[in-house]
Amino acid sequence: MAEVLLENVSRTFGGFTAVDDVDLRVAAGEFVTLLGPSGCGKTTTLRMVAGLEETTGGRISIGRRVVSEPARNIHLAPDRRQLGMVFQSYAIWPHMRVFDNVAYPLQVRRRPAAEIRERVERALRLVEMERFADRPAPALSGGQQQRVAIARAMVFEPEVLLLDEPLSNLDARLRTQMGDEFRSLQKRLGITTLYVTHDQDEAMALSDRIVVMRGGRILQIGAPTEIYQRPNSEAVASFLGAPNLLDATVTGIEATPSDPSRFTVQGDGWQGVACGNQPFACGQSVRVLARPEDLRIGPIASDADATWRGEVIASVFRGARRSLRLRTSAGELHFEVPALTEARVGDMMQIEAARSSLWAVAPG
Amino acid sequence: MSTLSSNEITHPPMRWGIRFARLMEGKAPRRLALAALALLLAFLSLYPLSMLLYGSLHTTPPGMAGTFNLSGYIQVFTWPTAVVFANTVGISLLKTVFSLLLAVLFGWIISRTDTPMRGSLEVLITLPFFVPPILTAMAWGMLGNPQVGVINLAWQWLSGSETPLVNVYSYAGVVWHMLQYSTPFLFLFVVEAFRAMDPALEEASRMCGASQWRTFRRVTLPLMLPAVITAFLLSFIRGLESFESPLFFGTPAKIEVVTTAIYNSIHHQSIPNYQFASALSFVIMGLMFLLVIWQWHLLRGRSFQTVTGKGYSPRVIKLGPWRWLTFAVCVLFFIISVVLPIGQLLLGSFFQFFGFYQWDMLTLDHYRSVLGNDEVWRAFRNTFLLGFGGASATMVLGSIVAYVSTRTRWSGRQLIDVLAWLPWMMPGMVLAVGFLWGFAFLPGAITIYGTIWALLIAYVALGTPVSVRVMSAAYHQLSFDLEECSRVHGASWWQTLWRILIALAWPSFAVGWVLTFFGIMRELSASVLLYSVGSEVLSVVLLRMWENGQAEAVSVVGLMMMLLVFLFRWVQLRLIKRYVSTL
Amino acid sequence: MSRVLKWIVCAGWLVGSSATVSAQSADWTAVVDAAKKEGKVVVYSMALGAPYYAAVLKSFEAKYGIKVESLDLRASELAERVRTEQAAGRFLGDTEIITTTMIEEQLKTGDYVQKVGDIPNAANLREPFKTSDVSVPAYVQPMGILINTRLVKPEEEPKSWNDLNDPKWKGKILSDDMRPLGSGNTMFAVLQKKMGAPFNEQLAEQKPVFSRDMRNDARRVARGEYPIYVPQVFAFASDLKGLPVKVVIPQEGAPYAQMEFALLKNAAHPNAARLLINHFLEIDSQLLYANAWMLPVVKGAAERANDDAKAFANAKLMGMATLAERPAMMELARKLYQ
Repeated sequence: MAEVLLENVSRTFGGFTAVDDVDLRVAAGEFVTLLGPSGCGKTTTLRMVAGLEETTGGRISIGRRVVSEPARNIHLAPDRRQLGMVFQSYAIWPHMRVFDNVAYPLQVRRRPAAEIRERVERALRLVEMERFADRPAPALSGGQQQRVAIARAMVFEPEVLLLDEPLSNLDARLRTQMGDEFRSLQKRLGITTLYVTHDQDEAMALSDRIVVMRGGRILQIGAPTEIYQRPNSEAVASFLGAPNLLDATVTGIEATPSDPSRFTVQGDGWQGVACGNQPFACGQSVRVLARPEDLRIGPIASDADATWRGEVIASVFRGARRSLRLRTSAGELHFEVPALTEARVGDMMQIEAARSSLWAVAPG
Repeated sequence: MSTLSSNEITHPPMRWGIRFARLMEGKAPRRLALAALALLLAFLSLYPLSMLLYGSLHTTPPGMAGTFNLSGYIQVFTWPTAVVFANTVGISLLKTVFSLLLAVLFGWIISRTDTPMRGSLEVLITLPFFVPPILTAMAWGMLGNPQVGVINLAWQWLSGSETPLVNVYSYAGVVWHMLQYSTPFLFLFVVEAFRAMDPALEEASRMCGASQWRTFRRVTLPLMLPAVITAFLLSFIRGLESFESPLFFGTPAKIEVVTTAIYNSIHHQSIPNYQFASALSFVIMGLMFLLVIWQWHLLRGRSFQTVTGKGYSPRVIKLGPWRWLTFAVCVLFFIISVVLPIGQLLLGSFFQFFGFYQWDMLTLDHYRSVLGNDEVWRAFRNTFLLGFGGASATMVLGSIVAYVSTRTRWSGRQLIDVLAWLPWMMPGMVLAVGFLWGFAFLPGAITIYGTIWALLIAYVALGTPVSVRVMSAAYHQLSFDLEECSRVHGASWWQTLWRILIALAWPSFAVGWVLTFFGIMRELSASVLLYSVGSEVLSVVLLRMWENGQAEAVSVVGLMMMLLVFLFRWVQLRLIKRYVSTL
Repeated sequence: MSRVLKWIVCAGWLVGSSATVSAQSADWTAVVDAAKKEGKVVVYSMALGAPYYAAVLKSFEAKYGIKVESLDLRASELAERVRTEQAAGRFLGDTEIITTTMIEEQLKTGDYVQKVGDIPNAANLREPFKTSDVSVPAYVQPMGILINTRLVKPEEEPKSWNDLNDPKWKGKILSDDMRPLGSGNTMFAVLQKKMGAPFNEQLAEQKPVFSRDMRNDARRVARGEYPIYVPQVFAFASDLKGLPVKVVIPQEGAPYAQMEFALLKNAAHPNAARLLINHFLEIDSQLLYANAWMLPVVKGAAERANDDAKAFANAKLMGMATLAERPAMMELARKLYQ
């Protein structure tokens, strides 16, 4: 297995910069996801790794081999990069049977027929599609096509696997199932994987590390928990989940030096304690992140980091949970409570944030 | 490069593929390959055209003393020529519009409805395209002349009227005769476009509450825009260059068009006026170029990728009892455009003379004389050789050019597209002279002139525009993913072109091949100027027979050609059906 | 009667063959030997596969064992190929059979033909045919009037060109287009000269319908679309036997086009070409043409022609179009037939 290294990679189309100075190292066997809204440059980055898009700056290496480096006029054709790739549309060739689709990467590499047969069967078994080998490709359902696409991408045991939103065309249940299956397969085979999605749940469930991108730049790289709990910017924070973001001012720094640091903050009609890993000074404006799942109806504990009072303006039953929306002096807050909680529109209530659940980031 | 494209037919493509793949690495070799392609196309189109440009600006043709002047062009911009232009554009526009309507109707009926026997109808509708125009012209002359035309006699007998119903020697007659050729031509384009389209797109429209007709108008047609516009342009341009119909039906009605004017200036002037003929052709070419630019403008920045990797299954619309109406429409067209004229030819071929159907004139002599004629067989062999080689080379070249111009962002691709268009915009009669001059005036060591290669090269040049159009229209509908997926999974550029793009577009490839093949079979202007003894082709032999008063023998050969078409189309459709059934 | 005829034929044949014998000097034997060594001759012709032409070539090949390659082209294509090849220095052709005016034109515009030299059989040419330095007459295509015998009653049959101007034929004459170069204009030019200017003016008043396909047009007349077609090249009607048509040779005579041989510059097989020219003027060769309703150019052939061909082989000639008058004639035709 090989690592993938992107150094200062950029891509401009005329005057428009689609990918700007991206640095990323995907370790051998690692599963890394590029996450971001559409147009953030994640797909372009993936396509540059695949060789489908030329880089205009920087260097990309796969294993020890430099595959793209415009400064030295290197651009290795996609077919010589030894990759597997799953496309968003699956790109199942409609004129071939399932078997031929999967066998294609081996056929173009001129493997002996016996080997092709054996490896295709193995790949199809891996995705539990062996019964469909002789089916014409277009006669498959979406999920089946996706499995075929994965089998095809892995049939010649590529060093690196690239996936471009492979689950986005599936329904929710299938998406979860396929994602899990794929992740366990990837772990078992230990293939270096670069995965592109705009779906944060998918990203968090599957990845070793997530790369959050916006406007062609990397905002943050980290493990899913880190990205979720310790975003380094408001943009990252707001992209993951649907957090409450409150304006506040830093009023003090807790004396004990720790990681993360703790700050006292004051907002409009409330005050509390928030964590953060940026060196904020007293009097500085910050945005405080309060995740809906960390808010609860209080008072319960004495160690709550902050409390708010307000009127319920929306109450939605969601089966397992109930979503509430509260109008407070700090703005509207939404949060989730157990489904059986009595809460009617118009009720006044007090809520509080669990200890160490508030997170401060610089605004913007 | 030229050896490459002709070798590809006989050698397995893969061996070249490896070399080609190596060649396509990095940017510098790509530029080299692109330059080689441009050079080849330039030799095929620019070179003969430059000879003609010289001819249009020089008082005498190449190789003769004379002076440069603009008198050819000055002669073009005169009042009589303006009338000729108006006639030409009017006739071609009329026939293109009508035949496009018919072609879209038939394309839809054949590919998208449950009309009975549509498999056979598909073959039958396209038949007229493959019959030499001179034969159907003669047949229509017999059917529709105002004095003793069969149709008029029947009409007068039925209605007791004194006046004839139709007169083919008229403006309408010219349009009508051209219509019979352009409808099948356009149909061949359109039906593949219909087939290649994802029915989900139509279904989506129906789900949004749009009626069948509205869906057709708002979704189906716009999706087929590239194919339809391309076909329209090709057909319109071909209409401007159509020769037999205006000569046969227009001359008696005193309708002159550009081609007959060119024909006059070359063949029927005291001294052949090549200067005027080529100047007129260049002006026409300029006009056509504007059309092509208009087409680019229309299609630019729009995506028509309806064939995606998601797969689809063809869907037919259940017409219920209406399917008998659509069936009747197809049959009616078939009867009028095929049974009437071809029946006339078939019937006539068993009699000593066309139009004299008496028992004592019943004979098989014409079949005997054709089948026993060594010259005909030799011409058949030559034509087949040239047709197979030429059509295959043309389609491979066309596939590559279409790929470069529609699916890459390489700089210089527009140039290649333009180069491939050029031969189509030059009236065949004049371009043929360009080839003659071009091949003859090559440096002495290059002996293309007077060999069978001259014909082959000319055929490839003449066929390339169609092959490029056919393949571009097909590529336009293929999603990029299908191709990129192949590249990523280890297939070289060449393997991808061959195994994915052409394999997916192969119904179009096959149609293009058949069009080119029969184009070669019919080509006369260049053939007669470039053939040499031993390399006689069918069109030249047919011309000899015709000029020799053997119209009946000519129609025997024409019928044999039709039989061949029938066979070709049948095999082709069988293969397509097998392909479709795997979907 | 037939016995007399036979005698005449025999006499003609004797005369012809004795002329051949006497001309076979030592020089000519050298030509024949050289021709056989060359082994091949390339002819550019406008015959377009005519069977009588093919028959003559076949008899030549059989007689001398020299292969003939004949490139059949239409007039303007032939002229342009010859011109281009000569200008480009690709000398593929040896000899050509084209109309007198085309040779005149070639002489005027460039240097494409060379001296033919002595052709023994040329001594046997009949009046008014003559060789020149660079050309030898090959055959002649006279033209007359074609009528549909069902639509034209015997008493109405035109006898003179003037009869075409009878008001009853107004709008009923199909004609080869007289404006462009071709048989139509040849007829126009000759009639203008021989019948006088008023003739053509009156003919124009008859509103003849123009067409451009002589072979098919004759059939249209046969089928009854029009009762009359002009000009009918005799030879083109010889294979319409059985159809209700008849070719009339007007009493004033027939306009004609004359085909001649010329020897191309830098011919690769000049001797074989000369031998072929000579062979074309053999009485047997000319007889093939006479039987196809053309006018033989040597003495002794017309007499031996088949009965149905005899009238045409002996037709009275009216004249042919000349290069010098051509532009004026085309201009005049364009004026009369706007």
